Amino acid sequence: MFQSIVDAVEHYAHSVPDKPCVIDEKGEYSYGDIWKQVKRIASYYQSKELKKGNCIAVECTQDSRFLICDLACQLTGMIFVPIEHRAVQERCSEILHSVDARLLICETDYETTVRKRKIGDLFESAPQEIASCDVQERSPNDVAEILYTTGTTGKPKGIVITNRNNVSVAENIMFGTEMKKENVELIPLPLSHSHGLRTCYANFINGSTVVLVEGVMRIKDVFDLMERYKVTALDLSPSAAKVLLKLSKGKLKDYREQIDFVEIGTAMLGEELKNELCDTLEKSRLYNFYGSTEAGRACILDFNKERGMAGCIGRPTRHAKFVVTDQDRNMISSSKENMGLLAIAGDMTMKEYWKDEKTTEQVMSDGLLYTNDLGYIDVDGKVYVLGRVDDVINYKGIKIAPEEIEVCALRHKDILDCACVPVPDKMCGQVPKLFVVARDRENFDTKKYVEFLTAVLDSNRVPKKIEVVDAIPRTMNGKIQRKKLMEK
Amino acid sequence: MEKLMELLKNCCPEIQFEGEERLITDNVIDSVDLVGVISDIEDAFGISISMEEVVPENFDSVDAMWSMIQRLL
Repeated sequence: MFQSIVDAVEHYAHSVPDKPCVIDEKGEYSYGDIWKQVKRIASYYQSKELKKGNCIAVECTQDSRFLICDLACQLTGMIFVPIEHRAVQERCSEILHSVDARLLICETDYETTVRKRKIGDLFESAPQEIASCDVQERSPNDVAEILYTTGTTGKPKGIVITNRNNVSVAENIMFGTEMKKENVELIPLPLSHSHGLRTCYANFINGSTVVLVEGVMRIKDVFDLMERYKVTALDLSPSAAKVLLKLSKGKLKDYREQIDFVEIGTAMLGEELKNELCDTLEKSRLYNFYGSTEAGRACILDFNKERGMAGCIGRPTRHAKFVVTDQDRNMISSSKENMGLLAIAGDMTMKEYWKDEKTTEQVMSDGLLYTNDLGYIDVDGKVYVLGRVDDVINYKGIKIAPEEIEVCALRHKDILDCACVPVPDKMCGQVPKLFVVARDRENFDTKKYVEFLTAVLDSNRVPKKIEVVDAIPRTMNGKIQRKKLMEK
Repeated sequence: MEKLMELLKNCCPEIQFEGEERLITDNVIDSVDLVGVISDIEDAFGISISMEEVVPENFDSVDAMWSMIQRLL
């Protein structure tokens, strides 16, 4: 097992130096090329008297330069802190201040008192001749990065990740997807967030290739890349998958022999989208990962192979173990009739929340990371999730996942988007409230829509309240921000 | 053109389309919204927009979209 991701890159730079490591819009870079650049940037960091444990913030440019800056941090023991591409000034300032960053590498013209270097200038003018780079001895326990959440469930948190965490997540992915040595994986998801970044790590541990692109909107470019580099795997979010299917108008089916697997994460995957992917890529392994930044890629399901298992998130990955507890964190023997809260153990679970001992202690103890996900483990060891305990609607004791209602709600042609949340009710405990984005807001007929819902949903799942809104609040990764709706 | 503008405002009421010249290039409109826009344009004008047409040159502004629609009619 490698001690860190950069150790893997170094290994392959010596064993297969000409093998493609990263492909982006500027070119194709081998493991040898990347390793050389990693040492170059590492030397630059040290020339600025940066030391082990210092934080370096880097704005995501969705290309090899971003990954090189990351790997150079690992090589020198500095802490990598990614920032979203074109993040607003406030967000950038907040992160820089929180981690006491010593250097900001960016493309956007941020205002800051932190030493700043434009990424373009850095890679053009940092000395090519590598001065002796003082390579720190790397420990699996060293902090490699701090990943800031998008704040789905409150204020953004900095999640502290060690080298061991990174290697374990990477192996969860590599073994979970049965990644082949000649894998070439297209990643349109932003590398500033854990999902896309960890897919890169998995390929680096495997000694295979990543192809980076900024989203799937430039659909023709996506397919050109798939053709040119004989892409064998795709890393998508549910919304990216939907866009790919819709914009390509069936062209993805032409690649059903070429695509070895697709991995999907970052948000819940609806049944309709699952079915469409299965129909389009009937020969490919189609994986849905369950996990979080705090506990990366903990559970995996090949939903092409195992169909029709509503709520099933599959089996724990290589380094993950699941248990189910009650509200007091006592372990229970769970079942569909006796659900509890999922808790996860494994080397991929984060070290802590940055400078937040209280919240860390709230979610982690006794080697377990406690989630707010309601679920159970069946007799075969398969894990099931109904939803976040706060999002699940407890209607007269019946637990209803909001997604069950949303999937049906979206089938109506006049609805563009929707989200369902629980609201208090004196008689029933909670009732479902549905927020909808209507195609034609002025002429939307709520009464007719309720009739439609009554026809497609069980009576206890028909929303008792419906509100038309301009947009459903979502994070950058497409997750519904239900708390914001519940506050309305 | 009015029909196109009305369609765009219905689809994406939060976006100021007038005067925008870099809707795709600057990610003013995201991919999910773009799918909605394309679907609505196809329905409203009875055209089919192939993958090859989904490029910034055709969607960066209302004028660009209109030129594309005229060409595909």
